Amino acid sequence: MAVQVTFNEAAGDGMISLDAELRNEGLLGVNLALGIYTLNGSGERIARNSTSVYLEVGGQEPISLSLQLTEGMIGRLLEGEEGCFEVVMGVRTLRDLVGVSNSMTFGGGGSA
Amino acid sequence: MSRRLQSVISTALTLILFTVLPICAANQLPSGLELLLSQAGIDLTNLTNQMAMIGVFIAVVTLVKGFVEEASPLYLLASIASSVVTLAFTLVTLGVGDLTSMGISTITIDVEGGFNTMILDFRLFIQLAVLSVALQIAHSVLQFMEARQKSKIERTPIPQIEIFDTPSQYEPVIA
Repeated sequence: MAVQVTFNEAAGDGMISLDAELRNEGLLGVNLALGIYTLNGSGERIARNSTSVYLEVGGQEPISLSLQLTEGMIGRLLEGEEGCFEVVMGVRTLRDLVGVSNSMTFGGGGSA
Repeated sequence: MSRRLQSVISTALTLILFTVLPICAANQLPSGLELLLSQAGIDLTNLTNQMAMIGVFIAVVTLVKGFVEEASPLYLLASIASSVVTLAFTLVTLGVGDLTSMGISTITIDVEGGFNTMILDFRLFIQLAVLSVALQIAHSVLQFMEARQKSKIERTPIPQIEIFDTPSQYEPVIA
């Protein structure tokens, strides 16, 4: 999984993009959810791009998500503030009865 | 094999599985992993102590069950306690040391430039464990009732039947 933050200095905006090659090497089919979120100063999600996919045993699926960054967000990222964007990955199985979710919250300079 | 010997063997196995093994495993963990767990808010010592205490309790109850009659109320109490404590063990294990989490555990670890939060949703296993314990308790109650009935029958004196030796004794008397 690769998360990339790009800035367009001329336009004053930017983009967070997430590329992942999801593979199910387990014994059961799983529902995989992946999302990227931008957070405001108080940690609330203000924008998101997310998707979910069902993967059979041995199945694989490439996923690509991107999210536009505002000027204010770029300012916070450049100042190195923590908690500017969040990458969430969830795995659920047994008809969604059991699951694990992992959320990585990063700020300026962070990478997932 | 007698019931007492069986219970002694079960007690020993329970102590090894639930008390000795978790303590040994915790002591064998590399210090780096221990530090990581403590950063994630997991108190390993507390978790191990809870598991060990539960293990000792289950072992004692198993021993008691082997030494009392099945018809005794103490046996029923021990069976119910054993089931409830097994549920507590499941809750502690799946809740990563938090008995009250009811299958949903949140682990947060600080990483460079941010933090990582992991949410484990194991409520299904908790629900299955609760169902299993309820069935075990019902089984214990039925077993106790059956044992009581059996012991009642065994304790009831058999009515004395008079057996006549010779046929002349029960010949009708003609007046």
